[in-house]
Amino acid sequence: MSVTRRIAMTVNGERHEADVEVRTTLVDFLRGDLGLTGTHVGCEHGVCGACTVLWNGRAVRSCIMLAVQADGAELKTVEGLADGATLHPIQQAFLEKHGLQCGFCTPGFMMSIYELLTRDSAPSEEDITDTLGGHICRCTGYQSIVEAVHLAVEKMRAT
Amino acid sequence: MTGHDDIPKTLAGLPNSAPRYIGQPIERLEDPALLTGQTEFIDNVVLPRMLHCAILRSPHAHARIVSVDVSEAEKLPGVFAVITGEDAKRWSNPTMTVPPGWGTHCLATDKARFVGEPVAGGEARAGAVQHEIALVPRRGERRGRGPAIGADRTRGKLQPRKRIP
Repeated sequence: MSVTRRIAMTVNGERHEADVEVRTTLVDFLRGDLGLTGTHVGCEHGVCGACTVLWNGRAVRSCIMLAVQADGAELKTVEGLADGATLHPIQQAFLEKHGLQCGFCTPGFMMSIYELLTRDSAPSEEDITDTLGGHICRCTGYQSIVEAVHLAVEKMRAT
Repeated sequence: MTGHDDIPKTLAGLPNSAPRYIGQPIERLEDPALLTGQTEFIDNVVLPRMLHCAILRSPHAHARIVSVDVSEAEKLPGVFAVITGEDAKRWSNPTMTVPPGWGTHCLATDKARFVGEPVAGGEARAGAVQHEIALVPRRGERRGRGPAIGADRTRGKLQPRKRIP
């Protein structure tokens, strides 16, 4: 009934190898097997964006991807954003602009914004709202998150 | 504060400024943990001998539950228990409501009244098993009498459902 496969991947610069059931979703693998619980499970069907991680540099929803699909991939999760005790400019901008309240959706938001800002160091307002449109936040409201993105752009330009 | 003597007793005695908070941005102490994924949420909690529960939900807006066959679900490896509305009726009271008497059990008993109403629950050791449990009891469920509308997945639109005698 349960078919397992051996997979290997790099997560936040660290190499992991594991035997997983082929039906295990990537987010269950990250949270359950690797203990990286910073990635959250919201809707479990690819709508809310809370589970977003970077897969070979691209923002993907880890709840609708299988762990085996990440075999050989390079992944980045929210745990890999900060540099030791120094917050990443995106995290710092969220903190300064009140881009979070309960913080449940925040890791997903930040991973998508990370992809956007790596691709485009000066995104247009439309690109920003388009990116944020893939995420649901039910308490902070989006305006302060948009402001956080603008501040993150400035911070990343300065560094 | 030295005690009750510090509490203003007149309007004039009320403070008109509080330099510590008013007009100041307040640093949120929880933010660094939330931003780095270190905050513990309830779903992160792992306890010894913890079971996962999968809920089978009603696919129908209004349906009589004729029978729920849990025998196959119970046979799955790792399954500790499968419970239905009958168990809920035996082991618990309906929720309290005001006015009284409108409460329901945590699982549908006799009738499901909305799409998504919990019908059965399966408790299993491994999280992965729950998907199978969730699928099995559905076979024993019979569509009931009189739902006003239901989703017809084959046609992709809402339409009246035929009455089943």
